[in-house]
Amino acid sequence: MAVDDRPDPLDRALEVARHEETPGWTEVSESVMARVRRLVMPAALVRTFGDDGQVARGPFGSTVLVSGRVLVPLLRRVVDSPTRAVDAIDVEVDDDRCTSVRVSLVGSYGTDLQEEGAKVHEIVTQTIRSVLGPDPDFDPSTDVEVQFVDVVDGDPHTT
Amino acid sequence: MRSPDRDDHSREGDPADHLLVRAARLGDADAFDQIVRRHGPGMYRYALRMVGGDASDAGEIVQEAFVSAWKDISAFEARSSLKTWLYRLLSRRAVDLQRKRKPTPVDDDFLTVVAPPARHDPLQAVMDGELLAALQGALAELPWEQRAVWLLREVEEMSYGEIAAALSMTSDGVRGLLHRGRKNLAERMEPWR
Repeated sequence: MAVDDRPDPLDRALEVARHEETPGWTEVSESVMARVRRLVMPAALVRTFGDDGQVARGPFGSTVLVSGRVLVPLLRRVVDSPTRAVDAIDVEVDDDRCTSVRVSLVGSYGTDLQEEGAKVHEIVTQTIRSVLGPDPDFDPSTDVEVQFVDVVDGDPHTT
Repeated sequence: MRSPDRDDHSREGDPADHLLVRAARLGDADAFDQIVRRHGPGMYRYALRMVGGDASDAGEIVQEAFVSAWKDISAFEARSSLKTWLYRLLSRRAVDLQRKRKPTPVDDDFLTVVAPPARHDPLQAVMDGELLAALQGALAELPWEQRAVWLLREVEEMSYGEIAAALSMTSDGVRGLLHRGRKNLAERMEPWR
């Protein structure tokens, strides 16, 4: 019986398909990132408070609002350190007021997590106060929550 | 603790997928750019084959999938890998597009859209191009799910579990569809022997 040793056409086509070039990809990827960078994510506006703890400022009672979108990258920048990486930041806004901030962190073995957590709590409290002012109803002891969601060997930014 | 067998599809020295997802969730567009560059080429190749080789349609659904991923990255909970999540978003858009459009026959323009691998041998390059066009024609005749499963398994080399997650079906379902897809494609490619 004759044996057909010619390569299977589907196998040959598959081999070509696996290595095919996709010349349009560069343009597509540029369009994707252009759209991503243009995309304005909806974010709540947050009231700020003057030194006297009041929202209304000046003779006309002006109010200053900050986009909630500003807070997350700012908090990430001040909280991140070589021994801890920010995993998530949730800023809760209710009735135009920042009512809670929850920070989830990844730590590294060998660091004192209690101490790190306390430091982060203080940093978040100070940052929120400096951006939004002294909201009399914002109580950092209950409204700022810091938790470690993971602990890894080595640098938490690369593990 | 991190799972040591986590499959992050990253090259040595590049940040792993879960680190890029973490940064993207915090609004880091540069991290998302790395995700696009890592997973996009395979997704675009898959999209081209799913939509009959139309570069405009493929580009559109890949864009939609990534924009949706960027908007919903906070909702990604790593129950599946980032790769299968992205392919799931893309597959949904491919299905939506198919519902909107009537099937169109593959024409000669296909060869200008998807180029075969660069070869020094011009004759071989032409043969490869014809073979790819024949494959595309055969794929276009397959039911949608058979086509998707065959492409993800054979071209993108995903596992049964990954395909099941990407297409929201069971692993047994994937096996059955793959078997039928292979058989149907082999029959349609037989004239090329």
